[in-house]
Amino acid sequence: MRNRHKFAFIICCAIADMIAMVFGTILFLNFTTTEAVGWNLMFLDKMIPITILSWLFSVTYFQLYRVDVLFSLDFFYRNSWRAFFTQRIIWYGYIYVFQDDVLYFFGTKANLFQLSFLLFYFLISRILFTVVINKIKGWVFKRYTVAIWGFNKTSIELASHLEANSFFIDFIGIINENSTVNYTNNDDFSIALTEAIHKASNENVNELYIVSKPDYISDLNYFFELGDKHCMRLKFIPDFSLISKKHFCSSHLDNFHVIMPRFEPLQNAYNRLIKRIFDLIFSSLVIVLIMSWLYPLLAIIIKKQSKGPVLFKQMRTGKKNEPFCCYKFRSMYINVGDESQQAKKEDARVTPIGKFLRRSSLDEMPQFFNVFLGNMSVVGPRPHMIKHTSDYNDHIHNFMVRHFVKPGITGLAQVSGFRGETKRVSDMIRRVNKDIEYVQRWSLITDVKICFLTIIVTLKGDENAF
Amino acid sequence: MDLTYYFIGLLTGVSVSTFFIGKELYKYYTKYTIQKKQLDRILKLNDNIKRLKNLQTIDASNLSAV
Repeated sequence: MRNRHKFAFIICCAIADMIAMVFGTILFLNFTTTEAVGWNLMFLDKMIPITILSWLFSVTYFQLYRVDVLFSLDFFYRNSWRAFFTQRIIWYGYIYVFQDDVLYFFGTKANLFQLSFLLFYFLISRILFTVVINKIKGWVFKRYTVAIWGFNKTSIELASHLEANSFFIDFIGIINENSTVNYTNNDDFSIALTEAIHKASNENVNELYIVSKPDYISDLNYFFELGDKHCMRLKFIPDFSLISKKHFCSSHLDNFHVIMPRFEPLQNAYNRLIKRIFDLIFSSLVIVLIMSWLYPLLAIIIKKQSKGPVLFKQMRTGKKNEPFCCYKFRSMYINVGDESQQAKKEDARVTPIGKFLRRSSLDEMPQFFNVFLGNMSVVGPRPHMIKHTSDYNDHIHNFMVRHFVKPGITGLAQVSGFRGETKRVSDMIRRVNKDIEYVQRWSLITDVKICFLTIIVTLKGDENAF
Repeated sequence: MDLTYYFIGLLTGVSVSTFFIGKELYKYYTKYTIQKKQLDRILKLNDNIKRLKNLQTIDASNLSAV
């Protein structure tokens, strides 16, 4: 029964959204004829197919109508907005490519009415969907009942997760949360679990999660068979809360269960390929459009103000702890002080143009050559000097995790305010934690977001940049 | 002044802001109710662990007395 309601809900959402999109375009076309925009008929005829195709592309890319075991309303809201925004970009892109007078178009009643209608629809429809999804359980005659057996930290977290997303299932909670029985050996545990399975079956539980320490269970197959016998789906979740305070990431390697300390999206070869393509396109555009005129200009000024090369080359730690030659515009006088020392505020080694370059972060621009060559990425943890890497590695236990990916010109830590000099180890710990968060959360959209945030941070001026 | 533009602007602004504020409020409400339940359960688990520890110390003192 749960599938019937779930599919009915999702299909109704999809149809309503599609109708609204098409209606929005019809509204737009009506106003274009009354306002006599002057676009050719061939172009206008294709507006509805373009609307449908762009909407289909957006909802497929963001998996808006994904049918999972658990339905997350938060995910649905977030992706509704993203899909709508992407569809608008594609739609305006189509108009921009095939029509000249785009600026005029933005102010037309046709565009404003359509946009206003669609945004209003999104608000009303999402309120309506929320009301319906919260009531849908009450309309189901035969509910799909889910329960948990086992009272520990893992089962409490699982219960919260199921409660947050149980729109299509009837989650009855942890069935032994009020029990005061303690299991001293495996036999006691087996008897209690067998009794719990019988009891759950009598209470018509369709799916039972057993959450316990693996060493309590001597024969898991026996319990699975017992579940099968009662026509109940039994699922076992090992509780590692006593051996680790942190969450694990688990996956499968064929039939083997693999437990890892963290999830890394960039371990997937396709994700790495996407990131590399993004890096290549981005760095090529910067080199051709900006570096082509900026490099000679800055080279003349740097050479005029101080003796020495235009580029400052330094060995830094890259991916897999391998050193690489990192390029920067030279912002300091040569042969003055220790090169391995971090730059400080009012540093005497900095040249006048160097001050400007460092403040505006323009000194990092030659690193786009590193990106193009493949030893750096546009977004990633900032590369450190080899000496600093070994120093910090002695103080911070998870420091080397940031070297699982390519270092970047900008990163999540830099746009979150953790850039510049690190006076204390605690500063570096905070930066490393942000870098690890990036390694775990990577997506192309995150990279694009960080690029935009970097531009905003640079334009606003960061007090840590000196 | 064309009132239609004013009305469209108002409707668009209200729709967008209500969508985002409502989304955050709903998220906060569900998180609050679920975390309250989670906290109750953690307190219950804590009581269980404390009770178990007490039992173990009583058992140990009984054994040493014997």
